[in-house]
Amino acid sequence: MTREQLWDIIGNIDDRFIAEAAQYDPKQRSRSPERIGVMSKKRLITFALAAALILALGVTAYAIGMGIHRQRQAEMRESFGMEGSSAPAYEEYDVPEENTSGVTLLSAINNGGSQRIIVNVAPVTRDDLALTQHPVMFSINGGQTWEQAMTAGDENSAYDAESQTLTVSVMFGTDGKQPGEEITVLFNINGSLDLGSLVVKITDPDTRLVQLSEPIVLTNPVTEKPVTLIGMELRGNQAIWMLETEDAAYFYSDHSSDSEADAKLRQDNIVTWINWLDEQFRATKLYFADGSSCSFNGHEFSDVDGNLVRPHVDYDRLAIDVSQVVSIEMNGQTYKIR
Amino acid sequence: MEDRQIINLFYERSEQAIEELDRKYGAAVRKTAANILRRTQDVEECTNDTWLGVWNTIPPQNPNSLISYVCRIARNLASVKYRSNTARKRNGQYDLVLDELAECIPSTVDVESELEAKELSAAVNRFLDTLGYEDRFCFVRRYWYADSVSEIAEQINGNSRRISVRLFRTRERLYRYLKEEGLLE
Repeated sequence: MTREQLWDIIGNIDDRFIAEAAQYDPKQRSRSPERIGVMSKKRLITFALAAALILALGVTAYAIGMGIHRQRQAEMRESFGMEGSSAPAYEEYDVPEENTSGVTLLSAINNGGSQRIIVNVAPVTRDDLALTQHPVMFSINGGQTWEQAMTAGDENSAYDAESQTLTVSVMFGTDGKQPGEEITVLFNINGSLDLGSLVVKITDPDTRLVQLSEPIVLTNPVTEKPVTLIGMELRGNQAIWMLETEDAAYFYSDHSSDSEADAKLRQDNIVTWINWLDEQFRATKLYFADGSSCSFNGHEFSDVDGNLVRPHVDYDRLAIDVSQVVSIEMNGQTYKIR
Repeated sequence: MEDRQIINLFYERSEQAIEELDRKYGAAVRKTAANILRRTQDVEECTNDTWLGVWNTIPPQNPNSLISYVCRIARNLASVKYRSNTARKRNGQYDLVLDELAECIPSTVDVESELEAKELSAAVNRFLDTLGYEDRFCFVRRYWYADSVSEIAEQINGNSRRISVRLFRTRERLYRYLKEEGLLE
């Protein structure tokens, strides 16, 4: 075997390992390895459903006396840490007690720029699942483009064999659309079996712009210049941090004209910067009026305007009630917000 | 922007899709290419070819993991470019990675058919599932992304020497695993 063949063999490892290694996550360190016998394609978790929404269904056995629709809603509340907390951005719908065929809307969340809905689809057979990992297709407002709906979790947790029901997540952009506006979503299975349509209203995004009682001044790990947290745009599903730094252009501007050495140095510095940012997010908590708190996960991306860097950072749960946030704890210090 | 939104932009054939993809994963793609190719121009060319590759394949593709999808294209294009450059200078990093890999899958192993190569890939996948998170992270960063040992050490806030030892042990385990699976003589 040539070295190139060897390289290609390693090149064919599963997507989930590549995505997992894209960024180091110290929280994963203590987890035990998943030991399995044979890894089939169908067995793969829909890893890339973005950290923002991997539906860990099946956390608790709710099945006794509960239809599949209510069971899924209960599982989502639990897996998203939403039990006992209100979050206006997350809307749950009345569902039939009994199992039904067709499409049943379970819940929705407006991400501010996009709308996500979670639905149960039935009947989906084992054969449908065997054909593709994501057999449910959808299109918006009669459009000709059909997309695959993301299966909510892996096959074992998202599929209920008894009722032949699959739980899926659908997301579409809301630019130019107003809350309350109706969107028709068409569904089919594997591009052929028509499942009918669903009319959903764009839900309200829950947003609040907050300032800190005093700006938090941090130190850029690369340049050692100040990085000042001046506030946050709290959205129902994520917070957009507002960081002022003189180094914004260095990290985020186009640098294709760099020499090879400069490009390498800048690339290394960007990695340091991004990792440092994620450390700051993970070391920060939001406190609510009732004394409870929530943490942050890493950030997805940042938008930049001059010296203002705005990382979009997910909460450790699907959604929060932004009106109830009263303070921020960072590096052991608490800051009131207004 | 979330991956799903970016993919939607590709489906709408909006050129903004490339901008958003570059903004979100440009650094990861450039790093993947730069670990294999030495010249900045080659890296940029490879990056642009990656965007073109994504543009030409989505739709109909609808990847579950966008970052894996783009980095995989970048890795393939970069290694093809590296191999096709007959006047190439040896890239210490990339060649070192290949040398290390050859320790656990010796060159005496014959993979004449695509099926045999697939079997080996599947075995490597199963092996990775037996590893703890950090060992797997180090392995994938080293042998898929071709990171240097010091880069891996920096990412996990560790020590280069320890990472080297860790990788050595993982390679040994892989060798034993493949032997037990009957894939090596």
